Amino acid sequence: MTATHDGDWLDDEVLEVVGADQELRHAAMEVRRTLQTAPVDPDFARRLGAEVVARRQQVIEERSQRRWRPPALWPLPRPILALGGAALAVVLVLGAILAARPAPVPVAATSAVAGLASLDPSGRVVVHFSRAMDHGAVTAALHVTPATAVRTDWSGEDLMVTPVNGLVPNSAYVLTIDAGRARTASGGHLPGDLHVVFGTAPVPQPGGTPPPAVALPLRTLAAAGEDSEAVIVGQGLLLATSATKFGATGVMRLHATGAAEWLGPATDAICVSRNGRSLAYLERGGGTTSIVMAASDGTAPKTVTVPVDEGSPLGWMDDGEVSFVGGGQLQAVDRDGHVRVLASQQVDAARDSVVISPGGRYAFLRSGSAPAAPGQGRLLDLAKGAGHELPGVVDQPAFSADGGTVAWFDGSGAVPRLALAPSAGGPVLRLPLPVAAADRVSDLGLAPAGGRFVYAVQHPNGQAELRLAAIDDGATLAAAQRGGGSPNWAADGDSVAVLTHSGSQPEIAVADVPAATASGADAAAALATSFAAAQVGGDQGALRTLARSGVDVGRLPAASRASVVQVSHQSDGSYRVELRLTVDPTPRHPSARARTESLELRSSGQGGTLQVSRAVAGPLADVAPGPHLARIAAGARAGTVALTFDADLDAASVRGAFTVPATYDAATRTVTVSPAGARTLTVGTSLRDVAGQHLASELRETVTPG
Amino acid sequence: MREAFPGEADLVERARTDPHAFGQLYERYVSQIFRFVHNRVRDRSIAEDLTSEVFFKALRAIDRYRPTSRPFSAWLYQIATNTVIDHVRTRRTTLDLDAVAHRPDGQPPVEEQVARRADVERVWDAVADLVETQRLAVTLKLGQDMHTADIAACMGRTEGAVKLLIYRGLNTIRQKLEEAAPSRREA
Repeated sequence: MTATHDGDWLDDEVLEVVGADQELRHAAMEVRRTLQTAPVDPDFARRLGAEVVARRQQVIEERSQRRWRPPALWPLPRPILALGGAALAVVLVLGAILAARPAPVPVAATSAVAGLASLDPSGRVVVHFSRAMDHGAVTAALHVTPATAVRTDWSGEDLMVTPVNGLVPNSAYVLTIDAGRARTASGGHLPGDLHVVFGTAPVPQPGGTPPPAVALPLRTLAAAGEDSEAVIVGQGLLLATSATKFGATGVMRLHATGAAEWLGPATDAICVSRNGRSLAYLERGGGTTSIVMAASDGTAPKTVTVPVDEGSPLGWMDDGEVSFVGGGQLQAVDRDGHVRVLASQQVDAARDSVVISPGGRYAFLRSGSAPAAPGQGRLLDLAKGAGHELPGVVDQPAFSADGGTVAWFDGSGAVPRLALAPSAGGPVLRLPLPVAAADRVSDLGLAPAGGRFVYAVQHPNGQAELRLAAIDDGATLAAAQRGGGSPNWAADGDSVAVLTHSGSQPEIAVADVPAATASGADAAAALATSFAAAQVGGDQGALRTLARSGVDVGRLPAASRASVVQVSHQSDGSYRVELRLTVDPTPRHPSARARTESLELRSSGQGGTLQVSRAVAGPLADVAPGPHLARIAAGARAGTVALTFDADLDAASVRGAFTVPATYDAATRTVTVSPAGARTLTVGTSLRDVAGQHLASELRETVTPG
Repeated sequence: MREAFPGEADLVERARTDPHAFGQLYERYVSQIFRFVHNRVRDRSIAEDLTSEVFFKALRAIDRYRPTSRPFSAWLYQIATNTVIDHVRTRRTTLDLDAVAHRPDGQPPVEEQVARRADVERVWDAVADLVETQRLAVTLKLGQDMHTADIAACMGRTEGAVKLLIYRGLNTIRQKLEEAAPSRREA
């Protein structure tokens, strides 16, 4: 680079072009000086910037909601658009125009967060107005529901709203500009209230200091083919797609005792049904392909010959059909060999990533021709004929055993995070992982009872780990100093089958995971959360998997989001869980609606697995003004109970509203009380939020201090 | 992919799902794109319209952008180049000297600015008279300080070809300036 007088310079590439020719150099200087004298108008740049962000948001939302067209004979109803469809809140509610008043001035309010279902609760909201506004009047006209203490700043016609204590996670919000108070800069009044509606993402709920990670022992059962996969089909019993034992290679039934049985030639796909009763694997030979459907231990096989594409996975659809990729399309075949097309979308199974959920309702597809960049891949809802992206997804996603929840590694940030969401779409929980930016994470597997997961970590120095981690906070509970791919959990959650390596030799191994240390209440909360996720997705199959056979899950209502309010242990050993189901507001209905749902959870006779034994949903209604109880649980200190509210409380109202000693933490909106022993706790209607709105009705809760 | 600034690749990836990441890319490039467009159309109002159009096209097309094919900046300038070409084709607006002298963003010509203004206009005219490929290469190199490799990616030519275009363009500009200078003195 050559610097000259007045700060002019020519870079080395230009100097190379002009050489020693001083006149040419002078001409280049003049051209550069001339061409760099057009600064952009800052006001124009700022306005265009706000518009660009809003339009980009609209594109992202439209893309995520873009309809995927089912086959012509699709028998199911059209999908219902979710909240996310509202991308850009330009909401003008026409009000009555008083004869004596001047004509109202149309004003549009746009915000990049409008219509988002998973805004970071620590984020701020920027609202851009299409006209110059009276800043003081607009600020006075602003209110946020649920009531939220905010700081406001202006930049031009951008109103920046910063919640003092952040926003409540997993909550629906409405930001309103009251037309009765807001004015334009020229004094004009608005024709109606302006609303920006959005929702916040759930956040991890750490359960305290995690215990130090322990060793995760891996037991090798057999040598394997490079792409082999193994599933645990019973106590100490595995089926592997390509195992080598006693000199034979093929589909093997492997016993923990070391015994093995050859079932057929090696294959590349195997799956167990969601209820664990059925097994399916692929057979190739003689130029044809067949799918073998059998009992879970591989007995009573029935073979149907059907063209299956190279690289296709298999997935059971509730014991009745097996899904696969054939002829470049997702298809399903039943035990009698009847084939139907599930999706018209073209799939190249040999190159594309295809993951089919337990139950077969969802399929993740990522084109093999797409770059290995985060965010490339869509999750298809084969029942609704809809699809959405998994934001930032890298590697392959994993599904919960019921299929209602999907988890993936979000590689959009500097360090990968674990993301979880209802498979049908909804608020996304992002969980930090104890990994470095250069680490590569892969091979995710969710434990069947929820609460834990396994994944593989490849460090830059070549070392690999298989980790068992907690869903609560991502903490590592146990680790093996070997990589482990293609994890498949046992139905009881006690072990995981993986493909690992000894040197360059692939091996099938089993990791015996430490017993879960979660309390019964935590397990109940985990089941209720999975149940709620399935309900948000309207996934009847997943609901049936999580509930006892007598529970009429078909009558349970849908929702935009759900949260666990309270888990209580009953004297008969069952658990009662209170859920809050929320229907997010929309620009047309700028008010959240909610209902409570009561779940009864009981252990099944065999193995003590919790199941939903009763579910009763209350009526749906607009959320009343004032604070609402979002969570009630044992407090961090012994003998205390923590009540978390959905709004910022007026701290001065707390003490008088409780009949027992109470302290308020504004940062978490949590009141901690110290009742003496188990008792009924009463919260009076004198409790109010920062907007001065009182508790709608007295609360009486039976509590058990921690 | 060559990064124009640290973290650009990550920002581009995040922009696929995060509108604010796209907003950060916009903030990085809006001044450069505006200047590039302005240098081509020499009208602030039109330049603002076209700059808006460039970013509106980019925000719709970024999902199809593949970082392996060319740097993000080259991709964006390609959009800007096409937008300007489309504008010129449809409008055929060529500003004459009078129009330039009275363009709305210009300061009122005061005595001490006259000489410099005339110099600027001569240079602008010289650049405007170049054949399209030379004008694009010179504008990107000297107006935007882009790397030759990125200009090559933007124009779909080799680096050597781009250097040749710049060299020929500068030679032509030098000749034009030399021709204009005596006439100005005579005037």
